Amino acid sequence: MVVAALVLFDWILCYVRYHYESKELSNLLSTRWEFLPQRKVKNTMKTNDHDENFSSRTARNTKHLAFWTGLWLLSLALVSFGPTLLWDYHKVITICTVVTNVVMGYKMIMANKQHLQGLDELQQRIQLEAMATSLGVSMVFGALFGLIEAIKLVSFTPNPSSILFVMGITYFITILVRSRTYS
Amino acid sequence: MKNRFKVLRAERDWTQADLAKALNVSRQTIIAIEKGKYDPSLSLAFKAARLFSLRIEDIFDDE
Repeated sequence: MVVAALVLFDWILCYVRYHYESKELSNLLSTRWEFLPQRKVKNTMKTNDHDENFSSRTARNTKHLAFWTGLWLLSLALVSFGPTLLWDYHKVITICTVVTNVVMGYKMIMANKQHLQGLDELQQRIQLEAMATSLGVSMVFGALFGLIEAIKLVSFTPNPSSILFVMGITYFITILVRSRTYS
Repeated sequence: MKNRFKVLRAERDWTQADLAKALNVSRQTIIAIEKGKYDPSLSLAFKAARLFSLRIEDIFDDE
């Protein structure tokens, strides 16, 4: 849940940034763009993929991703709290909510894939670096975390979901650090 | 790799946002290229060359 919240927060930040950029660009179009030579504008149009500019495409993909992530989080909350608080462990309803959660998860994954494909090459590189760091740290931390009880370093049983915290926080920090490096 | 993005953009009185829109990338990418922190892909380099009506080697210098 925390990981998803961190990722959602990251996407919201992205959305706000691109929304701001697109507003800024629309202001520029009315002031500066008209002074550009006509031939350059035509060239610009040729470089656009599917006649859609980068800002609007990213904003749309981010909205799409935020929507499906929100639904997935809601369905996860329903799976988590519904059986105890709402329907007293009724199996059919629980199975329905689990299936719904899986479907929402699939849609979120697809939206994330679309979002990544819509980013430009530098942003894709930043995302790749964040994913690589997050995966590596999670693997190292996860392997060690599974052993600390066995080698009697701690007395409590490690909770595997702690790895999700590490993964989310590492991903978020790497995005911030690498974005700062390139700007 | 050195490049002349900033000079070429200034010559045309374009902002970073103008150039980013023309190349269909984010402003962050333009900033990173201008500062020499990021080397663009061949495809983006060709786009820039077409936009500035120059050859790639007139924009980028590998020394």
